[in-house]
Amino acid sequence: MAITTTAARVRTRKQNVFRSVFPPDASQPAHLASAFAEAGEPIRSQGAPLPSAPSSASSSSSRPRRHAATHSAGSAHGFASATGRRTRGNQSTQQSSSTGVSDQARWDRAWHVVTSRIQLPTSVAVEDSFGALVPESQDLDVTFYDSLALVLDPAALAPQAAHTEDILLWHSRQVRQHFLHQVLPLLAACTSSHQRGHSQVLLSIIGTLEAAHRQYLYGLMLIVRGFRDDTSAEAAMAKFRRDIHAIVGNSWTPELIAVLRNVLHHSLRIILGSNSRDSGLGPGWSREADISKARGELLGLLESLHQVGLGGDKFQVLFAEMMDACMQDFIKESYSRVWKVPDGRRRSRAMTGPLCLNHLCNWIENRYGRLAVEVLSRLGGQVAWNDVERWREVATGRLATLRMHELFDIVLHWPDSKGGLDDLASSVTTPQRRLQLTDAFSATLQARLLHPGRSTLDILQTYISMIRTFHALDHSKVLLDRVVPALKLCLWNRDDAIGIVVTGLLANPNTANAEENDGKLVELAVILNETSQQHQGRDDEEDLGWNDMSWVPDPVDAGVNYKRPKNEDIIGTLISALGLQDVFIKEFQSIVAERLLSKQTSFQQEIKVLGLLKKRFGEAALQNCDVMIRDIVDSKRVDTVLRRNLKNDGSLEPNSLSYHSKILSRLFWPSLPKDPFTVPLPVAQVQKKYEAGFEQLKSSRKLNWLDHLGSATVKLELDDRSIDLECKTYEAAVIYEFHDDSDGSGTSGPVQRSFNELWEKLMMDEDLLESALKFWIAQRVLRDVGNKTYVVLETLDSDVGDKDVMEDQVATGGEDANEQPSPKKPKNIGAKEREQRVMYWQFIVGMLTNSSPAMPLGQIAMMLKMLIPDGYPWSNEDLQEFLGEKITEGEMELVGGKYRLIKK
Amino acid sequence: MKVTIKEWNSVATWQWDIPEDDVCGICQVHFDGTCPTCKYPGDDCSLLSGKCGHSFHMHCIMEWIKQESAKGQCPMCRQPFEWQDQDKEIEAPTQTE
Repeated sequence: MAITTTAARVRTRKQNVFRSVFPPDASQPAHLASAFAEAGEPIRSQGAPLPSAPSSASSSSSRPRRHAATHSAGSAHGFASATGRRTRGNQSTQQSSSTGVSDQARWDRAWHVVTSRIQLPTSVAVEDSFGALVPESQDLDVTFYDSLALVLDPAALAPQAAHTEDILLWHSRQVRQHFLHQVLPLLAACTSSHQRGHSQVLLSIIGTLEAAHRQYLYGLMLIVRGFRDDTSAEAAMAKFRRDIHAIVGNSWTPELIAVLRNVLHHSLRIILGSNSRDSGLGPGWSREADISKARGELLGLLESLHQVGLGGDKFQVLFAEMMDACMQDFIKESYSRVWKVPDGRRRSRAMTGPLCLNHLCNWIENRYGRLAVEVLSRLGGQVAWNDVERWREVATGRLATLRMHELFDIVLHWPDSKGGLDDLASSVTTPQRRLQLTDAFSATLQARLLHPGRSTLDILQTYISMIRTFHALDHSKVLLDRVVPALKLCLWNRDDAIGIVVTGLLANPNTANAEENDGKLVELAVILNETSQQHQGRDDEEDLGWNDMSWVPDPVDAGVNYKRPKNEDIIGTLISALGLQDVFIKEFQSIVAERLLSKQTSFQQEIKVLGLLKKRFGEAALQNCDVMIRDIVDSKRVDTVLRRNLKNDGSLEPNSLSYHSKILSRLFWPSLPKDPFTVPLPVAQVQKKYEAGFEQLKSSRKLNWLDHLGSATVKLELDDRSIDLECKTYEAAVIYEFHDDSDGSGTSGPVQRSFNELWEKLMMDEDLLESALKFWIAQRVLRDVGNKTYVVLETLDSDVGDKDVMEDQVATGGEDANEQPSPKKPKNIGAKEREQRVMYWQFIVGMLTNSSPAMPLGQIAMMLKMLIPDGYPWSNEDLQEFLGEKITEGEMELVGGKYRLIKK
Repeated sequence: MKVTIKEWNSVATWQWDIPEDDVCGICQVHFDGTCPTCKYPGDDCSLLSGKCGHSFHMHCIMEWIKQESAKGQCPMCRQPFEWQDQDKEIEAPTQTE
């Protein structure tokens, strides 16, 4: 179009020049002059050149054409050029001779015959009706062919005709006009009728276009018959066809695109089976009949689209988009959260490799690729094998993306989600994808796990699954290392993490389902049991690995100090995530110590864990634990020996209490606070003998009793009941104070002791004493009668009866009770913490005297963090509370947000 | 109420029965700990007390005495080092030297 326009412009300019040289002559034939004047309306002058015989067709057709001429500048130019050329020819013939007039008349008449014959109908009632073809019989009209011959070859048959015209050009022009003014509105009407379904709309559009085509081609056929040689006829035909396709191809409207998109989407979904979510991954995920039907329909549609010229680039782009979207949908709908094959199917065929991925590749090859090939071949294109490969790559990438976003769920559902992971493992191959994976996962992790709402146990459990999942995904651990820092950070901030891991390790794996293991990481113990068996022996040989057929190079994105891990090593990874090893070891020690001192008899699990940890941290780091275990074993032996000796000596009556002891190496146990008290007399007697026995057995050693550790069994004989109870030693000592040997019950009433009496007698720490009294009250053996006095509950029902009395006493003794408590530290502070507090206080006093006289809370906290070698576990709130206590004690004051010491 | 204590499981720590609770003059480890070569304290790594009143880990003082330069003297007070004959202690190797 652009070329013709510029050419036309050049011609018009030429004509203007010509006219300025040769002014228009008045002697021109009238119809030419009129044609000249009516430059905007050339077709009328040509179609009906003889004013004497105006055809109704031409006059009726003139109206829309005039309209068109005023509308489209391009066509106006074309017409002007045609007129110009004619004028030029006209003027030149005028100069030559007057015989041209008759030739011209003949030509004009022939032109009229031909054009009136191939004139396109203009009345459009029904879409299809304007295509009613003229009956074939009339074609045999001789005059038409004569005229056609004349029009086609004016040079030979009417050499003197002053102006001639190319009938083909005229036809294509009229077709364009017709299409523009008749067909396009029709198409618009088709697409705007919303009542019908999309496919119907499309069909009617195609029908309209086909009818128009028929009509246009009919005219062309008539003209082409006049050609003598086939090649020029074919060339004319092809040119015309191309013209039409160009016209039609440029007539895409948004509505048409929408309709087509809809229809395509529908049939593609059926054919590609992306809408059959419910049937899962089975082979028949869409009914075959439906598919072939839809396929047939689609191909038919394509064929007709291609025929009418809608199969051009635009359509192909549209189709490509649709196919793309279809692939997306298919992957999303068929595979999202589908990690397993439905049981029973596909099992018979040996399925190797990742399931969904294979399925997807199959799908791409057999359905997607096939359809694309079919469609493109209908449209005259070709699909290279490369393209199919590329599609597969694209699809794999999309599946990978899908799985990446699901990875967190995969982790949570491990190992049920193994299928999904396999997909990921075989689709994540490039460093970019690996990076994408870790990024996506880190983001999910942050959002879903690492917030304060999650318990440490949850986090640890997820971490274990993560270790497993990522190991299955990527043996090199590089991926895991990339996502884990945030998690580690989170675990470092959780104080209880180490404790949970250690108790998990030490849990009894055989009772994995029992309730007592709730809230413990029992799986750790299970793993430990499994791995410790496989672990041995294989480690050292593997270093060289000459025979390792599954060896692969290190991943490209591995770090510098990358060391290939041997196996999953969940425990190892977990422990290393918990921060510094000494912190872990310390925690381990204290937990093991607690367990060793308990009544547990076998320490298999502890020894096993210890062995494992030794491998990791080295013997030296865990020597204390070794000594601890050894102590326990030794003391058991010593205990038997001593007891036998004592019995043989006769110094121990056989039916007196059974006395056992654990003798520890004091430097190797985590803090063993000494809280001495007076042990009950019978115990003290045995203890003395025992001690003497020990000193005899182990020369030059002596014992220090840690009375408050350990346990005892007591038998309480009350008036109405007798209780056998296991309790702590200090609890036993306290209850022994209520011992009343006199059998004359009822004479003195139940034994009653006050707190102070007990305290003086037992020389026991107040906190311990108090907790022991609480214990016995909870056991309903003692009763607090107020005024810090306790009474034995000889009969259970007396408890109820005495209630009123008790309340009275509480009411009267209220003031006493208030007076009594000496300013003491809060009850719940352990000995260790008390020690800590003293130390911190010294640090604080030191810094307030030496560094600066007044400091805000934050600075004190910071200094403490820096100064205290073992780490400073307090939060700012803890410190504030502590300093608050000091203020109430009058040691310091808070002035203007800063703490300072009160000068004394 | 009659209270009978049927069983008593106590806990104790042992300690070398020597006057001062100090570190071994040779290895600077607590007496109740082990000398550098030992793993387990107590029976495996016992103490030796000299007549001069100084005590050491047995392994430590043995190593010391073996050296020429030690001349059989106590490293702390430079007196000839002789075992205190406590129980049936092995005859002191000093006499062989």
